[in-house]
Amino acid sequence: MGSDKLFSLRRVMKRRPGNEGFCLELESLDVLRGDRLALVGPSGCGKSTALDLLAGVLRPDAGERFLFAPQAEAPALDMLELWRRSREDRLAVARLRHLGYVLQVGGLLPFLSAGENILLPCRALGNLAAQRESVRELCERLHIDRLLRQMPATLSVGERQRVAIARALAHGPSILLADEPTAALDPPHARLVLGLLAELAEERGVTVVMVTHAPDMAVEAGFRLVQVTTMQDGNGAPLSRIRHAVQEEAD
Amino acid sequence: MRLALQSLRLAAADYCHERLLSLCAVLTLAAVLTPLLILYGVKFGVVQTLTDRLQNDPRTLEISPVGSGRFTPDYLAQLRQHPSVAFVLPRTRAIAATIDLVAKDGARLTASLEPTAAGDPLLQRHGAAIPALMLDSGLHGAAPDTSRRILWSGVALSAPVAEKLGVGVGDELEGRFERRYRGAVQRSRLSLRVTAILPLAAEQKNLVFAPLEVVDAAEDFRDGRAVPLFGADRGWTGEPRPDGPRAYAGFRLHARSLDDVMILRDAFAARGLEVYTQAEAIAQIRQLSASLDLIFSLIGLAAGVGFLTSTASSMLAAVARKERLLGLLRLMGFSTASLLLFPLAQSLLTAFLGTGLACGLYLLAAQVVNHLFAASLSGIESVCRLLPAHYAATLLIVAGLSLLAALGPALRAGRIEPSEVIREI
Repeated sequence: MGSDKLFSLRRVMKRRPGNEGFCLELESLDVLRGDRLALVGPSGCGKSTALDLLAGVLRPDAGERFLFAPQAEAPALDMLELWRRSREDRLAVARLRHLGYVLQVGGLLPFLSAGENILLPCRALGNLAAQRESVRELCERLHIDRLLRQMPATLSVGERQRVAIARALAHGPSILLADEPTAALDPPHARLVLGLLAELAEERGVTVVMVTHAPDMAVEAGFRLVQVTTMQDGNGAPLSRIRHAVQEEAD
Repeated sequence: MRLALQSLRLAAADYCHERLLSLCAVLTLAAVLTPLLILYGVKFGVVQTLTDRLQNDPRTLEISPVGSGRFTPDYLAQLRQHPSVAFVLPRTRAIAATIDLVAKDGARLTASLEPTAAGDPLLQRHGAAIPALMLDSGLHGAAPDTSRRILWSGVALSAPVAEKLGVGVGDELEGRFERRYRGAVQRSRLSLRVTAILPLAAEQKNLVFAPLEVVDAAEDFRDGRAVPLFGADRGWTGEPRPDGPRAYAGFRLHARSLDDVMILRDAFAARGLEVYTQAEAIAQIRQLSASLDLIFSLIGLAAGVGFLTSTASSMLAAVARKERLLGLLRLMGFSTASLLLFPLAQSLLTAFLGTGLACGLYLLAAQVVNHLFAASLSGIESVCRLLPAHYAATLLIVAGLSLLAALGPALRAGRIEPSEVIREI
């Protein structure tokens, strides 16, 4: 696999049980380094499930290929193999080093101040000293530098989301996963925050995969849309499919 | 390691953030622990006080033979060598060990003589000086050819004797000894000086503690023998003492400790010698202590099981409540092991704070209890008392139980699947 692909998935399956049960099939998904992709599709189609699979917090049921290459120069992680061998702690280490995750709401720890929330990944990783300047700049750009001493409960939803974005980028990850990061904000505010997210990610060379219900806003911020299509399988059960392959060059 | 430290830091931050709930957990622990500490403190204090009293009362450690026998100085010297023996002194026949006391103002009293010597625990316990003989040789310029003579003897009096005679320390008395010898009543005399008066608590009978020589002399005199040392001019006349060792009718022995009393009693019984001891009083306290230990163990066990289950359930509830938070940490990349630490650390925090609070409350209660019973206590005695080792043991036990209770919930915390919890509202 070419080192320009951060993720490369083929025929990765995940069945979700329950009332809204469905089967998600990532028939193909290639994420290039520096990509900004937005997963779009109807509610309950499995966009968040796809995001959790990419984050390595959800065990795939089956798959042909699932490679994660957070560093261009290092060999890719075979996620299917890690799951098969139940190496959850290897996955956790990979998340800690290379991943930032922004949830729709409430991704902050309520018992830490906004500033401490942002610094937590750096502290856990031990790169606080190296990242301090970059974190300071992040906070300024997101206009939260005056809020750092406040507890999350005293912040508005928009402020919390900006703190969450700062935290997801603070430790210098290679990939940012965002699950409808601006859905809880009013449209003008959402547009602003999403624009900032895209801008900061681009400046820092961070690849972004986002789930969104607002495709126009995503396109406006420079995201490429990846459609999750829904259909029914042979038995009439709901099936969601993602097809986003990038032509392999050398091989 | 870094993750573990961060997890501990987060656990502490969360513990402070939820201070109301944390306070409830601490109070719950203190509510269980404080009564236990007070109960154990009272049990320990009472038993300790009773034991100390027994231990400090020389009478408890005293052993004397039942009836009269024939005990040679050699035999008594052997006894003195026994590791369980603190002090031994012979006793003469009770009938020969009496003395008539006459005070300066003419008050008279007949009392029993009890031999004493340096190291007598009974006198030492009450800070009484050990009485001694005063010889006149050298001191009063007696001619070299005259044999040494007793000038006077010191005596320690029991409280009733001193009271009835109206004498105090330093006063002089005359001791008189009477015998029927060859059909006639004869008397001998000895000057006495009161060196100490024992408190009533030490001795209630009319008793005069005197050097062994005085008691020996009284017995010899009544056996019709002369005691030249005490002076023929004062009536100490008669036949010369036959050669050979004296045989005493009895002895007074003090054991080193309560346990030694038991050892000695058994040793004497093995030799066929029946002795008086305070073994029963000692055994009673031992019995009381054992019974109280059993009762306390049962209460402690019940409280321990209760604490274990209540802590386990509240920790389980806490982990369920914090599922989302733990899921977020897991999503961030915290390892299973570091997530296990989160509930364990919080449980330990409760254990430390709760034990600290309980110990504080116990100390207050102990003050009150000891104050209430101050009238029946002396010196360093206390009704409610714990040793530093008890506090340390309490902390260890509570910490152990807390960790045990938090183990199940902690394992649950380690197994949380982020994808199932992070999107819950």
